[in-house]
Amino acid sequence: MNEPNSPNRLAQLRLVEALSSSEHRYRQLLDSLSEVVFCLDATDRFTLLNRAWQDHSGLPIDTCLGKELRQLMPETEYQRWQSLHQAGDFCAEFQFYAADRSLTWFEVTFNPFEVGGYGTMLNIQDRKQSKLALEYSELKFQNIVENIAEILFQIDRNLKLQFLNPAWQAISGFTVAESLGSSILDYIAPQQHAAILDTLMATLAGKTVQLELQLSCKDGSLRWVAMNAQYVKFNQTITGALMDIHQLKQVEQTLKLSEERFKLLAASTTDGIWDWDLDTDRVFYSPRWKDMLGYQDHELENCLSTWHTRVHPDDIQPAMDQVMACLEGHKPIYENVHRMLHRDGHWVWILDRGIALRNAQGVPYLMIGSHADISLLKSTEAALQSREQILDAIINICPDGIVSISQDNLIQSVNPAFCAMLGINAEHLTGMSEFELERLLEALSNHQPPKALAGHEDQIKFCLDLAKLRSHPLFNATTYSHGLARENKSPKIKAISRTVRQLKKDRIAKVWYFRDISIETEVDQMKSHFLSTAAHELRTPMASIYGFSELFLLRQLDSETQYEIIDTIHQQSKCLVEMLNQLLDLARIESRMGLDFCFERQALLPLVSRTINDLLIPGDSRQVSFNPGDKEFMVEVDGEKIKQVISNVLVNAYKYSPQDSPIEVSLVENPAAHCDTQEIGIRIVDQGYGMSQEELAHIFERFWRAADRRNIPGTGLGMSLVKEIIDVHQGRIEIKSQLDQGTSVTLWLKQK
Amino acid sequence: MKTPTLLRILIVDDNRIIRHLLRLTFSDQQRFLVHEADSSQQLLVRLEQFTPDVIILDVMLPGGRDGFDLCRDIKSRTDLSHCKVILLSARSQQEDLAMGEQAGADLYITKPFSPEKLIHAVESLLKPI
Repeated sequence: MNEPNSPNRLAQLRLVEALSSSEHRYRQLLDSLSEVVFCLDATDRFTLLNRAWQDHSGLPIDTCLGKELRQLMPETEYQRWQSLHQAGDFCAEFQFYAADRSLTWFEVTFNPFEVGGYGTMLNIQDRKQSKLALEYSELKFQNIVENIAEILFQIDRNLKLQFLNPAWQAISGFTVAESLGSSILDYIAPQQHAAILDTLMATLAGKTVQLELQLSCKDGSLRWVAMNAQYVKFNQTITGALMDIHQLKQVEQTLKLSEERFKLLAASTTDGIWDWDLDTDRVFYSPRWKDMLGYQDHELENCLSTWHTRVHPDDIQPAMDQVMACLEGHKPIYENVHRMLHRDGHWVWILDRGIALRNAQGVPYLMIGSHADISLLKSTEAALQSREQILDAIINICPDGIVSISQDNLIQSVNPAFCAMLGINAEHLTGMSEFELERLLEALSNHQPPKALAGHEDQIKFCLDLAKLRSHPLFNATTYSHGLARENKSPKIKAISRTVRQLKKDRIAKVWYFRDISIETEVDQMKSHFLSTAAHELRTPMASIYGFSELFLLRQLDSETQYEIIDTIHQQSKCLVEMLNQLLDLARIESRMGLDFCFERQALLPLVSRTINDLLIPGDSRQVSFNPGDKEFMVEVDGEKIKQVISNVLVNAYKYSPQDSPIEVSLVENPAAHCDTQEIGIRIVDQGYGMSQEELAHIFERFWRAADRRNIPGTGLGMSLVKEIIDVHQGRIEIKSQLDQGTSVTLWLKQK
Repeated sequence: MKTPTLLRILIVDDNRIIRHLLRLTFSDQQRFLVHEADSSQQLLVRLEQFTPDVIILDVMLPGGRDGFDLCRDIKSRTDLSHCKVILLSARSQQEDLAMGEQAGADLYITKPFSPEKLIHAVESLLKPI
């Protein structure tokens, strides 16, 4: 019956073909869809699934066909499905398991059909996630808005508050509810309304604005807030934030006040103030700082180089070292003395002090300090130093001993002269107590000053015995100086007087001043001895003059006697005059120590011959024979004084020789020269009365005269004068004499 | 009126001119008999020769012993008990006067002196009490 190629069969075949190609086409269509298409049977099993199912879930279609729905979704989801299914067709969101058991959201549209149903599933996983993310984000945002300390607001174009966060209440005291709808200006201090309006209007132009304003709070107070706002086109509001800067403002005020005070202080102090911002290197210099260097405030820039470039080149490195030491924390305070260049070009001495301020990490951010002008101090210091040096020099040069004693009665210092007096070095003396030193001096002294110093006991404080000095353990021969005590004349003592001067200073309480008066007393002695002797000697001729003249006046005398008397008076007057002159000569030479001698280099021969020629003894026929020799001798002498010397000796030669006794003068050389310079001698030889050896010893003594056996007039001063003059010329005198034989006097002078 | 006795005066001074002056002072030969000595040695020699009534003694004498010394000596001698000693000196200090007194001098005269006054002094010294 069914033949393969029957028209029914063909028709059947054609139908099957058409059906399968139609199915194929539908299949292709289904598989091309991105949505999942499915059919469920009565038992909620999949009967149809398109490729999309596999794409979205990762599960192969054939494994899912025939599978129960409840196996492909969480139980809770299936429960929901069932309840919805019962209602009819629905569109809902369900989660299905993917291959890896993760859940994927689908939006399912389901239509019941016959016993099962068909539907589509749209993968809304992404959508779901975005929604979740958005929800989460909104939650987060909400959280922030609710919890933020700053006020967040939105106002419409009429300035009415559309939105406020809880911070509003915290800050202003008004609840959000009561504030919404009112104008923001209601909550702002009236005097600022104009500024606010302008600012807010500016936002409409697209600007972001910032403004500080005062919020009028519920409790009546005004709080400073900082507003940041901009126009949001989207909802046509001006949106912004208000930050509570009340505290900040207060701190600002305090700071400002503090700065005012600081400026005032800086202006009034005599010190210059500086304030160095370490980050910007900008430095605030007070007007006084600049004034110290001769500048007006505007003339100097407020930066580090203003200071740096004006410090003296020798001082800048040490100064910077000190600055760094302070900044690095090695030193708590910066302190440095340096010179700075004044506008006028001179250097000013500055004492610079400062401290560094550090942040929490210990890093310095600011350094502040002061300048003090210590030029005056420095110059005073310098003056003081130089004065001290001068004083020290004076004290060290002073030939008298100076000992300073401290408040504690300890020897503070001794000068070189004092050490020389004792022959003890300074280090042994300083630090000793006053008492000890006095004891030392006493121990070195004789308590009874010798006769030579008799009459001066009240002046003498210590009469140092040189023998005791020398044997003292601390004695140092190099330090010791004879000073004034001439050892050959006064071999044993050195008399010193002491003056004590009390001072009111802190360091030195007393000064002892020691004077070596050995020679003073000696000289005093000699002077008074000399004077009394001189006076005495002068009295004798005076006695004659006075006595004889009285007799002449009172007595009746014969003319011969009268003549005798007058003659005697005359002679004695002459003697007196001569004596006085010689005394004066001697005194002058002694006091001037030959300083007014006129030394001239000259030939000796003519000097001697002139002297001889000038010396005319009236009535005496004797001539002096002068034997000069051939050689020329040069000497450096005071011509007049040498003439005097030669005259005196010649006069003596005349006086102490009989009438016709010859006198010879010659120039002699010293063959045995015992010194470097050659000597030349003037020798005067007489054959007169001579002197005994004993008499010879006294020849140079003042007023001394040999026994006057022959009534020869004389003052006894002639040879003294000769000695003084020759001494000044650094020459020497040689005298040989024999009684009744004669005398030879040789005056030795240095040849030049 | 009694005729005054001739006074023996011994002048001791090493200075010739002073001796001359003193001699001239006591030149009245009616009243005075003048002797001289020029040193302490010579003085002693003279004292052996005669006993003077007055010794005018210069303090500054050569020869080791000065006037004070000699004065003391003279004053201690019993044979010269009546002899007056006048010390003559250029030194006029208080100490010297005191020394003179100590030495037992009857009078201390300083140079320069007035011859007239000296005569008076001598006379009053030797006036019979």
